[in-house]
Amino acid sequence: MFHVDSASQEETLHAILEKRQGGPRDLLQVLIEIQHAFHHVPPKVLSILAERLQVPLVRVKGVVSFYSFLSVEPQGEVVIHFSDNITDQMLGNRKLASLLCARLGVRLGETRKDGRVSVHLTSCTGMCDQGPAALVNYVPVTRLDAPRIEGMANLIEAGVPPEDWPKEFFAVETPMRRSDVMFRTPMAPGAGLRASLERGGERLPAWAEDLAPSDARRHHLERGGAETLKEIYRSELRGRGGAGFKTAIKWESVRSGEMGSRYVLCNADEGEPGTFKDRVLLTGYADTVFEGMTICGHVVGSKLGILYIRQEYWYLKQHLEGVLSRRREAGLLGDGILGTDLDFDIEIHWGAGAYICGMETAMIKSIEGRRGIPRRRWPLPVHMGYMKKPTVVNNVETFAAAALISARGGGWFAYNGTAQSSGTKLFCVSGDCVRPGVYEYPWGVSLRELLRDCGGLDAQAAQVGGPSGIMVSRDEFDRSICFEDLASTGTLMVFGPRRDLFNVVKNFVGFFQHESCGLCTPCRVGTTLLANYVKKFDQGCGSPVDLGEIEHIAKVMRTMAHCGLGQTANLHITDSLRKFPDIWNSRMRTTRFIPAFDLDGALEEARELTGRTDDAAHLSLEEA
Amino acid sequence: MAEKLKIATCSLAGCFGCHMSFLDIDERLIDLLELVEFDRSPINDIKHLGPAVDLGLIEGGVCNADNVHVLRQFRDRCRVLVAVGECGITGGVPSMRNSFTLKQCLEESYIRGAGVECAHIPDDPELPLLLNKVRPLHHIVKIDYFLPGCPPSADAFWHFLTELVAGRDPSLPPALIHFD
Repeated sequence: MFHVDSASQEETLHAILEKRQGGPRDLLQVLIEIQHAFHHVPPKVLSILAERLQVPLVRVKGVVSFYSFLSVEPQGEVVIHFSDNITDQMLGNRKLASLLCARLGVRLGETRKDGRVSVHLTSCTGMCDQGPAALVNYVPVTRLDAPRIEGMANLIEAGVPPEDWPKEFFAVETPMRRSDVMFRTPMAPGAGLRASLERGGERLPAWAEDLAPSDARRHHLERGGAETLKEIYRSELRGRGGAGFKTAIKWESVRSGEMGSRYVLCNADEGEPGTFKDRVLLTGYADTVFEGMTICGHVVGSKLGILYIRQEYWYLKQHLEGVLSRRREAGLLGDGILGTDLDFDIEIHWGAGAYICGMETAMIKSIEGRRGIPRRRWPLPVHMGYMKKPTVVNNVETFAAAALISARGGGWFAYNGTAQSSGTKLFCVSGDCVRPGVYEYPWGVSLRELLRDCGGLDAQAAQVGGPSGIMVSRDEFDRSICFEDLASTGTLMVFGPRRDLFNVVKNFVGFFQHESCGLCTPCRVGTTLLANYVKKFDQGCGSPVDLGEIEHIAKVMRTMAHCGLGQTANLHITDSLRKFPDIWNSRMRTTRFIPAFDLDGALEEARELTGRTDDAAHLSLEEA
Repeated sequence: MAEKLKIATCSLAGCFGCHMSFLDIDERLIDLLELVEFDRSPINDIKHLGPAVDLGLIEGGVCNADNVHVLRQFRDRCRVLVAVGECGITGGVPSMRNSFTLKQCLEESYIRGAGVECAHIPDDPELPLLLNKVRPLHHIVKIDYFLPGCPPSADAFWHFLTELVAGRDPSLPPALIHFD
C-alpha cells in the first residue's frame, strides 16, 4: 500500500504539482492525476495540496468526497467500473460483474486485500451502443461477455497492467449510422474560421463610438465577428444540450457584456445516461468542435476556451491534445490566428464522475476546482460565469454546428428542421434495436421514423432525452422530436416488447438518488424517498396510498428543487404511472396500506433476547 | 347543530409533551368541547377506543408490539388519523436508539448499567416486545395529516383542530411552524 514517505512517490507528487501554476482552480485536475498515479488520494497528500494550492483543507476534502472517481480509500492497481445504465443492465452487466467478482474473489464495491483490483458500478459511461461496458483504469472496455471477463480476470491475476492488454478489448466504435447535411461532408479544418475572419465586422455601433481606444469592447467590435454572429442569428441555432436556448442571443450577451476577460466553455460532460454523441463528435469531428469554440472566441472577444470533458472519455485525451497541437501548428489556435490579431487557445479540463457537472453553473464550479454544486442562475453565466467573467457555455454539438454555420451560412442551416427547431440534430440510439448508434436527422423527425431506421419499431416504449426526459408509449410514436413537441438532448433508449419497464424505473430512480448533489432538500430527500417507494413496490408492499405519496413527492420536487436535476428526476416516475400503470398495479398485493418492512421480523431480535415464543411475541401482517 | 365530532388521542413512544401542549389551549378547551367530544384519551382517562371515531391524534413513534396494536386499532376506527409532533412524524428522540442494536440497548440498561442488580433482560409475557427500530407512525399505517412541532404549540393545535372541524384544509400558517 502507498505511503507518501517513499522518495519516488514524493517525486511523482512533485512532478504533478510542478506542471501546474498552483492556483486553487487546479485542485480538481491535480487530484485526478494523483488518483491515477496512486490509485487513491492519500490523506497526507490532502494537506500538502491545501498548502500548495492555497485552499482550505476542508475544501480539498470536500472535493475528494464529491466526485465518484476520487477516493481516499486505496483502490486496486486495476480499478474496474462497470457501467450500470439500463442499457447495460438489459445486456446483463450485473451478471458479468458478479462473474468477474467471483473469479477474482472480490466483493462488488470493494478492493481486494492484496490491493490488486477493485470492482465498482458506475453511472452510464457513454458506451450504450456497444455495451455492456466497463472502465478499466478509466479506459473503456466494450462489448463485455463471459469470455472477455474471463480474459480480463486472467490478465489481472497474471499482473499484466491494462496498458498491455489486447487492443481489441479497448476498441470503441463510433458509428454514425445516418448523416445529414451537417456531417455528410466533412469540413476542412479552418474553413469555418477563415469564413468568420473574412466576413469582417460592421461599423462601430453608436453606443461604442465613445469607448476609449484601449477598451476591449472596441477592440473586438472593430475586429469583426459581427457578421458571423448575424449568420448564427440567421441559422436560428438553439443549444444542443437540452435547454434549447438561442445560441446567437447567448453569444451576443457575452459580446456586448462587461469589458475584460471572457471565456468560452464547451460542455462535454455528457452524463445523461444513453447519450454518446459528444463522444462520437470528439472522436471524428474534434476539429469542427474546436473550430466552433474558436469562432465563438472571435465573436465574443475571448482569448481562452475550455473543454470540460467527463473522465469516462479519458481514452480520448491523447487524440484531443493531438488535434489541439495540430491546430496550433496550422495557425488555427494560439496567438495571431491565421495571421490576424485574433488570439485564442483551448485547454482541456477533466471531470471526475459527477452527472450534476453537466449543469452549466455546476460545471463552472468544477472547472474552478470546486465541488460541482449548481448555483442560482442569476446572474447568468453570460454575465458572470467562469472566474466571475462573462462566459459562453455551449454543448459540443452546438459548437460543431456553429463552425459549420460559419463555413456554410446560416441560411443553409435553417433550411432544415421545423419552425421553432432549425437544422439537424444528432440522436444517440441504444437499447433494444438492431442498429444502435448516432443518427443525424432534421429536427421534427417522427419517433416512428427513427425507430424504423434503427430497427426498433416493435418497442413497447422509448425514453426520449435520457432519464430526465420523457418516457413515451407506443401510441405516441408519431410524435415528432423537436422543441415544439418532444424536446430532447438527442437520446433515445428503446425498450422491446418483453422488457419489464419497472426495471427501467428502478434503474433511473437509483441513478438520480446517487447523482443528486445534496444541496437542496426537495432533491436530496425526494430522490431517496422515491427510491424507497420504488423498492417498496418491488417487494410487493406497495398500495394505492403509496401512489398518492409518490405523486405528492414528485410534485414537490418538480416545483421546489434548486436545479433541473431535481425538477426532472421524478418525470420517469410520473410518466410511467400515467402511461404504464400496469407495471405499478401488478406489483400491488393489497389495496390497504402495509409497511415496507417485515413487522414480525422486526420483533425477531427481541424474541431472541428474551427467549419468548408466545402469541404476543408475534405480529401478524393483517389484524383488525 | 349536528352531532359533535368524536376525538381520540393517545401517546405511544412519546413523552406526553404534545398532550401537555394541547392542554395549553387553556380556556379554549371549553370552546372546543362545544364542537367535539372526547373518546379514548389520557385527558379523560378513558382507556378503550370507541368503535367509530372521527379524529385520532397520536403522539409518539412506534417502539414496541403494543404500540403497533394500538396504532392499528386507531387506524381502523378513526376516520382521520393525525401524527402529532416530532416523534410521531420522524421517530424523534426515542429513535436515537436506532443507531444501536436492540441487544446493545437492553444490555446497557439491564446487564451492564450502573447499579443493576439481578442483571437480566426482562422477559415477562406481560411486557410488549420491542421492535428492532423505532418507527414513525406512517411506516406502519396510513396517516392523513402531520402536525409538526416538538411539541406543536397550543396555537398550532387550536388552529389545526378548528380548521379541520370546520371542514377546511388545516394547513398551518408559517408563523405556527416557524421554530427559530
